[in-house]
Amino acid sequence: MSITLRSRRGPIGVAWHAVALREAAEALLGTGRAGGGRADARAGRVQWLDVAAGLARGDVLDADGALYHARLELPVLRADERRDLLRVAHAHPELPARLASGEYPRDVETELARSALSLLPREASELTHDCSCLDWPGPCRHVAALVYVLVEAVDAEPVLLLQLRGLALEDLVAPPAETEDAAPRSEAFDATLTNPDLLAEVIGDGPAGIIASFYGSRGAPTGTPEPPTPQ
Amino acid sequence: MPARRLHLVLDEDLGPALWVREQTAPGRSRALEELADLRRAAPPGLARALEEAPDRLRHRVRVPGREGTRRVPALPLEGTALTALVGAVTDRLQERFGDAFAEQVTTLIGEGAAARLDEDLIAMPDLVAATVLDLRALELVEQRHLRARAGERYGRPVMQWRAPQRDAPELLHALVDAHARAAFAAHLRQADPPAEDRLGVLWALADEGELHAELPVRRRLTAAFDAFVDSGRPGVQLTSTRSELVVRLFEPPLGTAWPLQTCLREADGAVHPVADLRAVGDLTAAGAAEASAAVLRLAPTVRGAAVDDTGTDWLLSTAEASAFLSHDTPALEEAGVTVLLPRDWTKQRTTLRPQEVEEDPSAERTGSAVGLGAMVSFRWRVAVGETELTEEEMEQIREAQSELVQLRGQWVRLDATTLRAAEKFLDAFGRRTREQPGARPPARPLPRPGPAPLEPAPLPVEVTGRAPWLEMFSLILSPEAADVDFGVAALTAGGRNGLARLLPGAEGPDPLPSPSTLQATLRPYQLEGLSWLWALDRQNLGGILADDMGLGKTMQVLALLCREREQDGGVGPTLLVCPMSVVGAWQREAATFAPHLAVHVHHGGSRLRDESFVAGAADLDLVITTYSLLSRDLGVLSAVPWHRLVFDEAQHVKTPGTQVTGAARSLHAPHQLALTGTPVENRLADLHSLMEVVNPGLLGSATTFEDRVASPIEDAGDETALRRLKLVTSPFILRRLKTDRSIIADLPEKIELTRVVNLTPEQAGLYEAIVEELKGQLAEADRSARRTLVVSAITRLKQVCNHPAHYLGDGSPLVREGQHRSGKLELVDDLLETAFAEGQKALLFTQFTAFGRLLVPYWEEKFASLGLSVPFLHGGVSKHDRDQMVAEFQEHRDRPGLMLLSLRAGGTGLTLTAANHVVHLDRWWNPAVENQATDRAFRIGQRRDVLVNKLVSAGSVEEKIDTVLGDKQALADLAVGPGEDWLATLEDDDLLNLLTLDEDGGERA
Repeated sequence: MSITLRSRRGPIGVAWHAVALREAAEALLGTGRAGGGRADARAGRVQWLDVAAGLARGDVLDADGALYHARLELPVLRADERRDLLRVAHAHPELPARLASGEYPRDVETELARSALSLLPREASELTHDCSCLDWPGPCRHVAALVYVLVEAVDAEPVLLLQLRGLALEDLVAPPAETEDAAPRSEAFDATLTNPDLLAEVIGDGPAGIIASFYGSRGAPTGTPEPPTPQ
Repeated sequence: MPARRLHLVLDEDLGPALWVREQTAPGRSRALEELADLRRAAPPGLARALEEAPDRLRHRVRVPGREGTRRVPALPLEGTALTALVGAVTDRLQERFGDAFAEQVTTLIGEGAAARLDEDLIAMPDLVAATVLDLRALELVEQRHLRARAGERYGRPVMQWRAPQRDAPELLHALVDAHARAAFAAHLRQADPPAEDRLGVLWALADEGELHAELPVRRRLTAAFDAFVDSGRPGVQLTSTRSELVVRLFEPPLGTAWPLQTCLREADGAVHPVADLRAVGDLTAAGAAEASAAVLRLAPTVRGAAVDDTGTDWLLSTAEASAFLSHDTPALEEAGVTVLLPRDWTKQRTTLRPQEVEEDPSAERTGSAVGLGAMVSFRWRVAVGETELTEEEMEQIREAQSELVQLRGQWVRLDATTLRAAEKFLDAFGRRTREQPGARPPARPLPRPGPAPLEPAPLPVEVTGRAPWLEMFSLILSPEAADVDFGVAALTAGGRNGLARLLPGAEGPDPLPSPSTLQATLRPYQLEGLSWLWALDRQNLGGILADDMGLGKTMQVLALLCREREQDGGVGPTLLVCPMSVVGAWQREAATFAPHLAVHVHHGGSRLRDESFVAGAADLDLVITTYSLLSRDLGVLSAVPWHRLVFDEAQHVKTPGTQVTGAARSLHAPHQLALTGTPVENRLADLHSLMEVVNPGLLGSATTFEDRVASPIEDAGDETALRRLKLVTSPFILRRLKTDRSIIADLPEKIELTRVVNLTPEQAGLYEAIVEELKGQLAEADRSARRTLVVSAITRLKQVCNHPAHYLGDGSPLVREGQHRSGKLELVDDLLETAFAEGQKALLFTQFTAFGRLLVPYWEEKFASLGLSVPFLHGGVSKHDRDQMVAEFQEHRDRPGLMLLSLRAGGTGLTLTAANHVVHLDRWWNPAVENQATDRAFRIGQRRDVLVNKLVSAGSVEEKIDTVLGDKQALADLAVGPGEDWLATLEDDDLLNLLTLDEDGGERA
């Protein structure tokens, strides 16, 4: 499995937010590393990309055949920063849909800037990196390749920027005004109703079938001793 | 023994762990480093739970103390070690409290109190709480209320079972994992091993098996597990990816802001706005955002629109709503998104409604510039839906440039195609008409006396202009009229016989009485046909009479000839061109029903070909000739000033470029008429070709007609082009169907026609030779041989009437150099072509098996393009083959087909109701036998009307016997019986009279 870039030549990243991320990262990488990373990314050396709070990770296959674990880190927003960001976001109710549709509205970024906030790296020094390879202190070409894969991913899904900053789309939606109405969500569910196709998509039919039959065997004798009945 | 206190902690690194505080002195204690003592002193259950644990505690956990955090020796508890320990504590407490266990433990937990397990052993509050969590965990596992996730432990990918609530205490998750793992391992041992588990998920869930999944796969795995578990939740289950996306547009409640809602549709069809679903928690915020994002991606108009405070719905301006409807809706629907519009909100088509047409009143009087050249004032009203527009409304629509307009207080969605088409047409109309098309409202009617109406109805605007009909028709067929919807409720008028009266929706031709000189009673539809022919005639317009076979096209033409002579007098001759086979039929019908008409057949070797023909023709009423003579005698034929040309079986002149068609087009007369039974609307090139003969120029050149009309209709199924073509051609085509009972209510269900067919010169020669030979033989024959001689001669005569090749038996071709050798075959070919063009089937009966064998290969070749096989059912066909033939014939009712039957074979309980044409190629002279054969096709269950053709050769013994049998008196006098045997009993003179060929029967070379 490897990631194929859409961009075959020229700069990577089209939307303004992807370009901004790339430029910040390229300031960190320097021209030489950037070029090598771009070539590696286009050659499909990045095996996978994962974006979590404060951290983008991926395995990069080196020309020497070894797999290195590259990381790029961007600090999660502090609690007060987060509060300020949510204040801006709640004034833009359409923001979640815009982000989900692949668009990061510039005016939101401009408003964030008034509170010295950004979803993007505010300066190159906000980015840190790490890699399992021996090229220390780096940034190595594995990190550089990861950067370009990340830029293209962010280009299509600006929501990833939000995730890097430790937020989810859910957070951007203002909680409903009257909270008493929101009944607690029922957790009741019927294990026999579950749809194994949803699992089979990832793990295959055989294993999904066994797991589904486990869920369907509710109350059947199992390896667990009978629990004492509390009175 | 010192008191020992058991603590259960949840360490950040180690997870659940046990540590023990031992009291060394009052007020002093230390953390236990060795387990051996404890194990010895503990109650047996607890001791067993600790059996596997190492003596010395090597791990350290952080615990909060009075002087900050400190690190104490501890026993990490994983899986069964954890559940065994907590289970042992539970058992001990149940022993102690008995039935009051639950109550007691609840109290303890509420107070944060410890519980004594025995004299020296105390379970601290965290361990007591764990017993309750453990029971909860068991229950969850029992009910399979479980989640699983792919995580990481000590840098290794693992699967972890979890309690369903994500915010449950971590210890509960750990207990659930331990119990679920054991339960799943047991399940897995019983189950059949899976074929493939490339990620290793199963053993990672049951045991310590390793999960083979990189981080992104682990995330997908967790998401898939969550989706799997959530699919078991009752109630609304909506996700943005698995539920159908719906976009709903509302009319503005106030002003001009059009609410547009993003919604999802449940499996049961209920549609919910995502904002509501998100508010009650049936849809995640991410799901709601994803749904709205899908709308944004597909609908560019919405991207620029104002969003409302839900963030998932928008408020569109009228211009945006209009753009959304015209540009975005198709893309959304293509992507499978349903777009819901306000109720009853279909696109309103713009129609052009022609108003009363005023033809130049002088034209009908003076006879100048009539017909297609007549100047006509046209007026159009423009309607949206049912609303005819006023000038202000037209202006408003033109300015709005929008699909949405408010008309008389209602929002209306315009159909942009027909609106633009109407505008374009009116522009072209303005350019092509003589008058400047002043868009003027019609004069308001004078106020009537009495109370004035409170609010006068808005006056629709009318666009007017003057042009000749031909110009108008050409405009309607031009690309400028593409997509124009011409209102069907056209109010047209114009004189008593004006063309406008013949347009669709108009009142139709002025009805006429039946001509008094016609010796027949016209059926109502024939009278209508006469009125139509007459109306066209008065304007020098040509027509195509395309009635079904058997409805009496000949009679209607004869009625027209009678009518014009009654009205005008001194009318010139009509030239009728027809296939040779029906010349005799025309001649006979004219003699029967209009004996006062002077009829001449221009036919045969002795026909006049010089000046005398031209001179003589002036005194005639009807001259009948054949298509084969048309081009040959074109010189002399075109020298006659014909009053009218009639082309019977006009499909003979439908192929452009042939000699016959060229000759037909080069003849000219003030009136032209084509007769055909073939549906002309289905073959547009044919229609154009026929129209060129009767109304040259009406449909434009063949090339432009093909480009602008025929190929859009035939290749692209262009409905509006078809409507425009019908508008232009409908005055000139009259077609009635036998099946249309609303028009022809008085028609019998079965029509029987005796078709009199001319013999070819070849047939006539052979026929006469046989009669001559018989004469000689009769003189010499004795009484006993006479009967044989007569019957044999009649048989041979009938063979000649069928086909020369049938009589000669020499294997010669049925058609020689494109010329028919048999009048019967020529007529049957025409008949079959017409029937096949309508997807109908025919049954053909002959009493001669040999004739049938000649016909089968001939028709199979002739109709090869239809892929027809010609089954021949005769006495020699086995029962099995016969059943199969019948089944195949009956199978596809709406496809062309024919079956040949020998009359004898036809008598045995066959059902062939798929056919609605029956042809008796030769006669049996036995009505009972013939009717029985006919009834193969005409039975209960037959949907269409059956047309029975009995072929009879003109002037031959066939026609004579037919006449005799038709005359009941003759039957009585002659004691004529069925069959032919009685002929042998006739006297020589009577017999020879019956057999001798009459003069006019054949074409003599």
